[in-house]
Amino acid sequence: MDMIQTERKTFLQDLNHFFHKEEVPFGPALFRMALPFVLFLTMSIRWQWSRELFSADGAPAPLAVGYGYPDLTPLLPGTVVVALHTLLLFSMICSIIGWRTRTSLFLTWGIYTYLCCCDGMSTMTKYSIISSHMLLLLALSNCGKVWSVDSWLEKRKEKKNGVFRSIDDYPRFPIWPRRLMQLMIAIVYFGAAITKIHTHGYFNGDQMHFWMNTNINNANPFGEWLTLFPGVVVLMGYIAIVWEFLFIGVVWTRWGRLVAIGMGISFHAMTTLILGLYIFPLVCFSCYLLHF
Amino acid sequence: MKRKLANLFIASYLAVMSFGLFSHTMEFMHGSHPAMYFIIWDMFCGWSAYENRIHIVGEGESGAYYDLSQGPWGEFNPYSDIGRRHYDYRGVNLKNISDNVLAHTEHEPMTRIFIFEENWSKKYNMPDFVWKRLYDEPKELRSYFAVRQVLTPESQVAQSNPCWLTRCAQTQFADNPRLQREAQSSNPYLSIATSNRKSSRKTDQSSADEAPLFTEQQEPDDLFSPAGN
Repeated sequence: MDMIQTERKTFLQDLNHFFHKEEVPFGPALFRMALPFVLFLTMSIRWQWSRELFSADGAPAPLAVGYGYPDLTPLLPGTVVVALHTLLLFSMICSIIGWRTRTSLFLTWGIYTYLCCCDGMSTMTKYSIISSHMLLLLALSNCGKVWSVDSWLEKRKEKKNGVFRSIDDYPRFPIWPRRLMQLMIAIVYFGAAITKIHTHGYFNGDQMHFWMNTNINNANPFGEWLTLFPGVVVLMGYIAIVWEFLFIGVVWTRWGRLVAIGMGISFHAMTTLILGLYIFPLVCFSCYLLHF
Repeated sequence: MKRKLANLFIASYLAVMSFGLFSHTMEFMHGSHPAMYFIIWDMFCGWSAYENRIHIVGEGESGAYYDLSQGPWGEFNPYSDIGRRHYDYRGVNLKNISDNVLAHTEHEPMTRIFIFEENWSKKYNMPDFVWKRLYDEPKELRSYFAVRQVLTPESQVAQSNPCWLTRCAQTQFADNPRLQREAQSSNPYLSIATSNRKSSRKTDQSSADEAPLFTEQQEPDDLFSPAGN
């Protein structure tokens, strides 16, 4: 009688496979195009206000001041800040097209994070922090090795040297930067669920009711109408918190991913409709590209 | 070697993120340093029942009052048609706005700068058709104004008051002996909140009556929320 021998992997081997399996970085490449594009939208509208928002010549609002560290953030003169801001926009475009990708992403990460820290009033938000994490991890990844100007230039150089690669001969790299980015967004959801548990009035819908009744984000007429149905708001609140808790556990399998990402898209689309959020959902939609 | 460095980075990154989750869950050191803002995910830390707006007014030596709310080059509206100053919920950077206006405009010498807070109930934000279905009374917006800060001409904080909602909570607390008794008898005997904050604001106004009750009291975080757009 034949026996089927199966290899039993240890936890460390599983972990090693989880982080160091090699793959073509299509997901990170898509994310590299999407995230800087979204951030470009937010930072380009601030360019003409750069001196006022971020420089020592204007009215900066360093994030650290609120924590009792008034001198932690070095504030630069207006001219330098405008130059940095311009360089940021340029490096974002370079990141999108994938030219000098790693350098561009490091520049984008550094300048973006610095400028956000200088304006805790209107530029630094939680989506800025998520983006900052993601830009750093993207810079460490090999997202510029496919679908980029860099990869095109490299192939052209190889062609000149007589090396020909087929169109589907893509380079493969360890998956760990993508895994960290996936874990990062899952941890964000988990933390957001903990926040909701801490928040008085979340489970009876009061907080959502108040949020839907303000235009502090943007106009949200659908949300104002929805305040007529408090039961629906409570139900949606419960669904949201369950989804946020479970996301980190279910997103790693095929069907779990479809459900978790599908609910995520619905959730963030609803935040646009009922709360007037735009950039946060776009950042999260970009992050979902990492799961495919 | 490359893999070892990668493993080191993965472990460090996940450890930092886990600490953020722990800190947030246990409310341990969560406000101790600006770096904590990078690892704590409190996107929904609460919205109050009141809408809040900020007004900055300078008093000139002639007795005339000047609107210092909007920057010298106009006002930046980051998300909707609401100006940037209204997003400083803690009021810690508002003096920079008046400084900026005064530094880039011609004006008579100022004697004082007032930062006012305007509040109104968010129910008045409802569209009329929603209001009519929920309330029988006419929709008449009532705003409440309170002085949040008074600055000297050199932009030093001469007077600083807690935000209006905190003041309401304090007043209710001071008027309620039962709450006071319960607060004094329900103090936790073990405190793990650690904060090395240095005060960046000066205040010369303190109520002798309220001092024992509100020593070390911070403005509650869940009255407002950072802009989570």
